[in-house]
Amino acid sequence: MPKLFRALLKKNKWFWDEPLPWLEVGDIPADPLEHLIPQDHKISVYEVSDDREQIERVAAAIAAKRHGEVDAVEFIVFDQSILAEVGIEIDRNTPGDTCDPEVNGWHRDMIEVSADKLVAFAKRVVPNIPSDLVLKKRIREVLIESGGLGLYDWSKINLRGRDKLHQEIRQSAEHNPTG
Amino acid sequence: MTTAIEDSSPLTSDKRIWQIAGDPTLVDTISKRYRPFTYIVEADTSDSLPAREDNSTSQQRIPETLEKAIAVLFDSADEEYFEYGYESQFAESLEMFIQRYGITGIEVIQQHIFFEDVNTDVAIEALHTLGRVQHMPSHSERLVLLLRCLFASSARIRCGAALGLAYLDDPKAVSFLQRALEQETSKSAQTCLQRVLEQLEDTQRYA
Repeated sequence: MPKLFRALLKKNKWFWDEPLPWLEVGDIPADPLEHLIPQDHKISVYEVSDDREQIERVAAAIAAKRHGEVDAVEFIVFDQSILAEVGIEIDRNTPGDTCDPEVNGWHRDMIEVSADKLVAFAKRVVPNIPSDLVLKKRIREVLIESGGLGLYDWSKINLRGRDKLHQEIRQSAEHNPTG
Repeated sequence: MTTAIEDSSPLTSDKRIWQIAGDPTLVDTISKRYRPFTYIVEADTSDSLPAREDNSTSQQRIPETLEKAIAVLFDSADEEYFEYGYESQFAESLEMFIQRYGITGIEVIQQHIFFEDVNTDVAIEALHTLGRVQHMPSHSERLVLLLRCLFASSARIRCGAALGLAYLDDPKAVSFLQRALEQETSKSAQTCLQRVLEQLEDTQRYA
């Protein structure tokens, strides 16, 4: 069963400091739901395997979409079977919109997400799936590696330091023409 | 009123929302060079931290205006949204504060986040900024402050400190991260610490 990658936007908000005395048994705090807010009733995810390199490539492509600086990407990876358990369908027809066309092909949408389904999904993943990170330094390395291999559509890279990064990749390629 | 910066006693403030561990096995030996930061013990002599790069001492007094300035800065950040890849107004202001006030500024920040009622999200953003800011004269103080926070009672703060260390990318943190990881109970914080440890071990390997 494939896995799904979901990027977490807000810093360090997936887990919480226990105990929360007000939290009833079996319930979860609402803060982590900020990472699962649907847009147009859909939640954007990427289909991945356990391969760390693939996960890093997805993370780098997502980082490159930002309009700010190169930075870390925090994410969760969960088993797709969870969606069947809570009645959420997957749509494979809408490609992603990152700079990496291959990553775009891994894009999926969790569709027709109702409030009940969202809460059921959150109750399955929030307490059981730890967040993970690809750190800023590694994101930068992957951007340089993938960019150097000509894998990127640079018009879709929004980073503030895009031109500098592009120049760095060109210089790197000149010094190491065989890759 | 001025506040003397002295070796920190065990934290007792009721106002704080998270605290720094005062594990005696961790804090029993203190480098004299780090008098304002008393909770870090060097893992072994081969792993010693760098000496302070200025002549300030633990007896240096902090102007009240700086304490007020940092309190206003932290309070005003309560409603901010901290997102990866985007520099928050708080981070920008904190960076300017560090650039301007250097080591004294770091001591003011430390006093504030250890002893005042600081929003956890804001504290985490501060730890990230402490790692990210380009200010060599305060490098050692920022490193030590982040190391101290690796042993905070809050798992989110521990992870925030680890991320700050990742931005700083100083392999001197390796042994402390290993130790923090051994003690870590939160799965997400374990992963966070592990990733940072891997990065710093790589940095150490290729240094």
